[in-house]
Amino acid sequence: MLVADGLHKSYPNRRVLCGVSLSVSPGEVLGIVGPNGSGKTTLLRLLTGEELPDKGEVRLDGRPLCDWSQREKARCLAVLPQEGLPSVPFTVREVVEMGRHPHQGFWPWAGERDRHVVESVLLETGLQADRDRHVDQLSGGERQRVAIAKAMAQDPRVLILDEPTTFLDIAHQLGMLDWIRSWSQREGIAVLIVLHDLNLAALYCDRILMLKEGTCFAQGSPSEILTPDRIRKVYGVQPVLTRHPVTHAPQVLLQPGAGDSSATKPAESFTL
Amino acid sequence: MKRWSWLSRLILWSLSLTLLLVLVMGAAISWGSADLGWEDVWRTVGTKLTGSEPVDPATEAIIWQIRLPRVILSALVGMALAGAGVVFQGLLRNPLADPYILGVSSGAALGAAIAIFTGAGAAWLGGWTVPIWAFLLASVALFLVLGLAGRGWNRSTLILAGVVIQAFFGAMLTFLIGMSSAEELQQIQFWIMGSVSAREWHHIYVVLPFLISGLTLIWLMARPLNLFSLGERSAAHLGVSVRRTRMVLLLSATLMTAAAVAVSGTIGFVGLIIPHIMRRIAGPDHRVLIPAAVLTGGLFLVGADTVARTVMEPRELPIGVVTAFVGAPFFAWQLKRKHEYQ
Repeated sequence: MLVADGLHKSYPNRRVLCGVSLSVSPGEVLGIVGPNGSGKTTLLRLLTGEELPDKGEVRLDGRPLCDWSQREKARCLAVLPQEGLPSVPFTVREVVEMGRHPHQGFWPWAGERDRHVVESVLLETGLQADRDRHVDQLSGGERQRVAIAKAMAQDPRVLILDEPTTFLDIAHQLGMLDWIRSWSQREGIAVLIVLHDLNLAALYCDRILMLKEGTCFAQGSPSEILTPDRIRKVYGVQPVLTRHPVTHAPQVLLQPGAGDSSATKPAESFTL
Repeated sequence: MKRWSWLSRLILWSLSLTLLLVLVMGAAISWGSADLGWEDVWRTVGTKLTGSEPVDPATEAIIWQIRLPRVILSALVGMALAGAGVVFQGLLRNPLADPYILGVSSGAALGAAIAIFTGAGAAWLGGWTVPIWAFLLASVALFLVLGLAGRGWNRSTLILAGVVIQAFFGAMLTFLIGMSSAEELQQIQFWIMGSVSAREWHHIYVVLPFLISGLTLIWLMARPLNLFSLGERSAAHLGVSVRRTRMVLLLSATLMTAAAVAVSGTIGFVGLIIPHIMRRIAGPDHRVLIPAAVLTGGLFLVGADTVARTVMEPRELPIGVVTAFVGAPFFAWQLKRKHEYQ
């Protein structure tokens, strides 16, 4: 569905990505993990077409991403940014309807089909009761739910999420990821998600891609990827790995005092 | 609370505000330094519209040649400025943005003054010379301000850039005045103060096409403009061609500002207060907000002009003074409230 082939990207003073390849197929959840400054954000910007790679190519549905018009692309690919929705005075229903924009014509009004999609999305996401509330009066968790509903109304085949759980409490984190995974499986949507939390990545992703200093350090199923050795090499900490008693996914336990900052170069220089 | 669909809100707002506007314009025509009764005024309008013989030529001249063009023109100018204000505020996500504060108006005023002073292009632009010069210089001012404010268009940087450009263009305008003869001087002076006095029908024909085309364009782009409130990145992810849309919207707003300034000078604060108040009352959806703010802008300026010409009879205040008396405290109040749009 979404394929990236040998992506390279440099900014004037540093090389950010160096030969990263990946592919996500329908119904699959691919997690991208890696320490700060390992190139996750840049990778996402290349995959959404916000920036162009210096070398390599991104293909959506077999066609180079740069051949897609902005509008065509938005019908196929939805993006949820880390900060979620800004605090706008629009109502929940109005924001969800904004997701229909790429499907709508030139005229300012919405069609019958758009109204239908918006209503069913509101019903599915349980936002029916909140439809007339203003987004700027919602809590962070509720707002993220509206953001997902907006993405659902967009009716995409690929969903890209940038650390969607950052500002959420654990209940909302799990709720959000459960929801995304079931949506992905039900509709066969290819999901690409950047996660900071390795344990959540192990629980929710079919495959994990681990970035280190702009290269793909490892790629595979969570149990293949998450080993103490790899985590030490990539993050420079010495963790303990265990199995989740119920799901048997690998889980990372952190130890105080086991951080080893010499194992890896500081990723970001603070002397700008 | 059950919310009405945007379409019903649009119809409701448009109808009620149009009705109110017609009423206020009617009242404004009946009110002025020449002492005419309501019946005289309306009988004259009636005979003119039906094409029958005027009752009294003098009354007809006052109504038809002096008051009516002036009232219609102030409505159109208010509409244009409020429409431009909605676009600037929505696009730049800045509640303090308006054509006056962004320096667009002073650019337009300088352009208009150049046109009057040099008469350049008058041979082939004819009656459009002044508005077209105003548009050119207003665009220059806008892009200078946006360029100065740098990437991201931070709220306070944008306002500061507007102040700088306003000061610079204002100085060039003063320079022009210093070089001009007495008659031109009077005309140019008028662009600094802002006024709709002594305006005639042909001024209305100058504004009207710009206003109609500008308003149509921005209303058709109301939905992308809504998406801009989520941020430019999100708008792009939803399929908006951000650069192109932004350019069309900015130029439409500048065009409307230039047309307004070309006939009335720099009238401040209309484009600031009206969109702001209407966003509160009519909601943030630009499909409703644009018509609602535009009509209210017309309403506000007709009212302001009526105050300007009657409050110190027989002398007249410049209309810009009246709008500033209302607008400047409002602007100050807005500066104090910071939580919105951050």
